[in-house]
Amino acid sequence: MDASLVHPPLRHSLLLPYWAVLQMDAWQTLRSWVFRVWVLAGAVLGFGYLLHRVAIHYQAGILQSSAAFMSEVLQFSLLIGPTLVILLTAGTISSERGILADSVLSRGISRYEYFLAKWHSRLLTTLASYWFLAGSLLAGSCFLLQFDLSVFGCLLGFVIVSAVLAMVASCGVAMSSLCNSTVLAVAVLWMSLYGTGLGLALLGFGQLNPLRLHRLMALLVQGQFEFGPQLELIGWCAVISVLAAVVGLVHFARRDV
Amino acid sequence: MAESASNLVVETHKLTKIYQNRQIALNDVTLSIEPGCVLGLLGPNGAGKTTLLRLILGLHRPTAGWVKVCGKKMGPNAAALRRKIGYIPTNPQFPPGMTPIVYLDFMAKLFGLPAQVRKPRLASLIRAVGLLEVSGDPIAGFSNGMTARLAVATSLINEPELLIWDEPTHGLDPEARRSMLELIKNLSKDKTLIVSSHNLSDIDEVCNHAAVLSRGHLIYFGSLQDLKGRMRRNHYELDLEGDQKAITKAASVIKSLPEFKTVHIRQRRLELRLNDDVSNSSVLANVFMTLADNKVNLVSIRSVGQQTEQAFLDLVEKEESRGFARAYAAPDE
Repeated sequence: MDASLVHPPLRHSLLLPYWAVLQMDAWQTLRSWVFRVWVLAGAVLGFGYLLHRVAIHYQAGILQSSAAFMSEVLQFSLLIGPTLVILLTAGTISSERGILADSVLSRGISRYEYFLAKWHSRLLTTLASYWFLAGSLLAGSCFLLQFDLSVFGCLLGFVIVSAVLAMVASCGVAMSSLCNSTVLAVAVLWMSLYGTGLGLALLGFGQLNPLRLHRLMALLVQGQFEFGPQLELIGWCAVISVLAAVVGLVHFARRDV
Repeated sequence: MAESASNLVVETHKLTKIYQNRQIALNDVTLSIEPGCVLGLLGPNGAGKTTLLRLILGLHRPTAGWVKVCGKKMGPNAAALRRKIGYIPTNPQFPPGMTPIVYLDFMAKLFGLPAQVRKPRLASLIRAVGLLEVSGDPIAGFSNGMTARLAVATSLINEPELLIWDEPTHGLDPEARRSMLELIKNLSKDKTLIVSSHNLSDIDEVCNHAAVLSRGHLIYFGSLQDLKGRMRRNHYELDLEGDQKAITKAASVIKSLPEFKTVHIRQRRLELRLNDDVSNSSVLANVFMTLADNKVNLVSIRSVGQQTEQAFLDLVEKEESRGFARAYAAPDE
């Protein structure tokens, strides 16, 4: 037999389907109006507030503390960020259920790969955009306001807020795989999240107590913190994230699409 | 379609799908599809055709029974098996803002095809389906025919062994429909196809086997010829030419023959129904002799029972009329 006629067996790249869905989802998230509204609103509010502080500093001559500004940014991120993340993630899978998901899931990709790619993509876009906005505001506050913050404490604050947002994003993706409707997923998540937050605040209980987190942000930017409790907090967020993802993954791997 | 199990492209055993304990979409479907088979999946709306296809693709999980593709059990995570399948859904939808090149590249990546394989393949497919001029345009602006061609290219990007096309001619104009049927004929030379369609003439033209579903139940599975042949095979219509009196006289002679169940004459059309136990060739020879004796010319003859549509309708009608008897059907029925 002519050797040139023998085709070597085609080697499929096992990571390629995962990578393709991750890339595609990230690209589509960046093009979505929810994401654009989030980034635009975050930028307008953040930089608008920064400029307001700068104006007070230059016009009235009142010194403006960068630590106070950044603690407010972090507190605001904790309060409003989850709502935007819920909007951004609750439709990850449920919005594509039906023919659009068919056209992907009927190809050479497993449900596990699909779910993981979607989850990682939403984590990536959410956290990258948050870090971009928060990092820009940190840089702006350092240059434009009175520098009195702990950069390391501020970065730790970003990590904690990121951990909370990642936890919400994971719950959002998991809920989107559990629910058939995006609206239902948003409603369930929103009520669960803020209901739990309110309950923890009223009881004054737990690492994820919103009031505790609120106070913590002010202390972090001033450099008044201990590593242990913060790591524990991040660990709790990571555990809840992974648990939510596992529940979503197991359910999605078994359900009809 | 008895072939050793290892060679079967698709095999289902007592496949049943019940949605949320509310709707029985598929009931006890057992079939096996050999390599090279072009199976036409027929059935009225809601018969379970799409459910069966989705079960074969692993998009749905069976409530009971199993599906095997190329000898291995299909499931939601059987990605390696799906690499052997090319699928076109009923109304293919595409993610917004994509061009054919981007979309096909994405689809090829989903099959794990490395760049040195997928890039030339997608280029040749875009050329083959005639989308070269619009390969950089957004898919959102495409016509039905263009999206159908893109769907065809998508289903072929992984060079599959099995093609599953759900209503591929749906919404196409006659020219595009003709091209699609020609393509199916060409592909059937070296691939196994399952084609679901409401258009029975399409199935008749391109398929060599048929499966008929009615209310989730498989009421026929076998060759298309058998399906056509088993229904009203002794029912013929003859268009005649000649003097009306001679035609009437010939008809009355034919009526007197004992082999006929019914003989109807309507102007120049003669409708004949033969008894079930007679040899149709010798009886028809007698008919032709009688016509010749009366100087009546034969313009055309057609076997009414040979129409797939009629066979399909008869099957569904028969299944409906069985009523509760369905519950007591013999296992091999």
